[in-house]
Amino acid sequence: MTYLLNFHLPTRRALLTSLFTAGCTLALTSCGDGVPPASQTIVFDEVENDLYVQPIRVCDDFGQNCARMNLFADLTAQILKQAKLKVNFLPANQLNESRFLTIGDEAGGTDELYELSRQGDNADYGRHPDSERTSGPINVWFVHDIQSTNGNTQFGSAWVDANGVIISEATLDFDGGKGRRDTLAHEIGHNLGLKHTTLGAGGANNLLTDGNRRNVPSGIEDVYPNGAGTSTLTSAQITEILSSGFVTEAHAEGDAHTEGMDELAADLAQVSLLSLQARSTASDKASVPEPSGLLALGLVGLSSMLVLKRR
Amino acid sequence: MVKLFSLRLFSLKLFSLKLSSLLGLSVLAIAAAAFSLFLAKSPHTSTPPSGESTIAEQVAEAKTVAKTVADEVAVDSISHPPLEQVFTKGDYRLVITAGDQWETPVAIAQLYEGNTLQWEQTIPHSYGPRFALVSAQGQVLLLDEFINVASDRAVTVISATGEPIAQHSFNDVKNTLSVSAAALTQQASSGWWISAPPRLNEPAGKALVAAGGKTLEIDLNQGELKVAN
Repeated sequence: MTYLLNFHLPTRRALLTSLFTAGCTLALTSCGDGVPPASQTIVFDEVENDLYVQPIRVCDDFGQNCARMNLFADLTAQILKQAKLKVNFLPANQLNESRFLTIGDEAGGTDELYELSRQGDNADYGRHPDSERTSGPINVWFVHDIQSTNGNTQFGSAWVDANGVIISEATLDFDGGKGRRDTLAHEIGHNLGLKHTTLGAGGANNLLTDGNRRNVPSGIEDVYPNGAGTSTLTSAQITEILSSGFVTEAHAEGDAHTEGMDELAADLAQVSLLSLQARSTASDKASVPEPSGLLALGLVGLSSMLVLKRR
Repeated sequence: MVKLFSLRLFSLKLFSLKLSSLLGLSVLAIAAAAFSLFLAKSPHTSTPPSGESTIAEQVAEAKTVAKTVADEVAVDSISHPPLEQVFTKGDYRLVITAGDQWETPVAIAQLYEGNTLQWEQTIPHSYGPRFALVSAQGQVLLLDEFINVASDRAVTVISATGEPIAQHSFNDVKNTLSVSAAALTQQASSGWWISAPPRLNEPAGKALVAAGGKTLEIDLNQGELKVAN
């Protein structure tokens, strides 16, 4: 310690910076399991409104055997761009409850969807703490399977004009593993108030048409106005979307409000995750600090002490 | 010298003081975090026992329940095709079955001549083809897939002995017809591009498929595509 403190000032400053940086880096990376990647915002020209989406990966009681997850973020954002929406995918939360890995065959998994989206306090079941029934971030749970009545394969389930979506792994296995890429946008459309047969839905190329008739894009090149022109939204549907409480007016990049909202979103996502981990059972390894996390805290503490001493 | 020593001693004390403050603060922070974790582990709901809730709260809860019950759930799903489909022409009979009761999209095709199985193979079409037909000479035509996608297997021709004659993608069909992808999908009545069920032109050994306002002609012997006159 004395040796460190007797370094020449620039050297000592560099060392302090390195220690602090290493500590912060370790602190961030040590939460890798269960802590989602950084939030992703898909920005297009002419967007005027924000939509926040909170993904929640469901795992078993021990934090293992997690459902596979793919937001098809680019394509989802491209589709909703028709309504001049900027889609903000928040860092994913994790829900460790085996019973939600397979959703029952009650019509659309209504019971489980109700429990996941409505019961308990804010931030329970991995929900975003800011999520409300008709406003705030839309919560999307990714599960292994949605059991369906005989003769059907079910990809997703959602409240109409209310918060809550469930997506099954069948969306990933679809089309020989290419994926049913429009399901998330379709289900978000339901949360935003759209239905299968109203406001112009029903044609094969409309986003909200039911699964039997709807054409599924294989990539952005097929999404309206490109290529085959799939996943279209009518002007009546766009009007309905824009009247939804989940949609908020976007602000220019970099202005104080936007920055504040981004920070708030990040903070809340972390709060949500911490709350989720705190509610986990004792057997849940995700709630136990990792050694690298403790080392990181130590490094940050050490650098802080050195700074104090230097003053 | 003594003064310098005193100064150093003072600095050390100050440092120790700061260190102990820092440690104290750390202990407090850890205690606070532990307490918040303890609070967060409390049961899901914070609703008091029914006897303790006020009438206003019960009314509010009843309103919420009523609103929830009225909420509608919508799903994204597809209905499976029949577990077995049979297509017959002359002595030939093409049977397409679910590989495992449609637990997966795997489909199996079998061609019989009379009661004799000529060939059987797993076909790569998800839940089987959208349309199928067999010619009097035993050639098999599979059109599109049951799922609504721009398929690499828009047109598949198989010989009477089970050998592949040709496979064409949706892009091949689009290019042959010189019709845009948007026009094809907009005019389709079944799946991604087909406007009407296929027809056989038996003497010529051709199949005809309406799509995008035109007619696609498929040579069942060679597997070639062209626009019908």
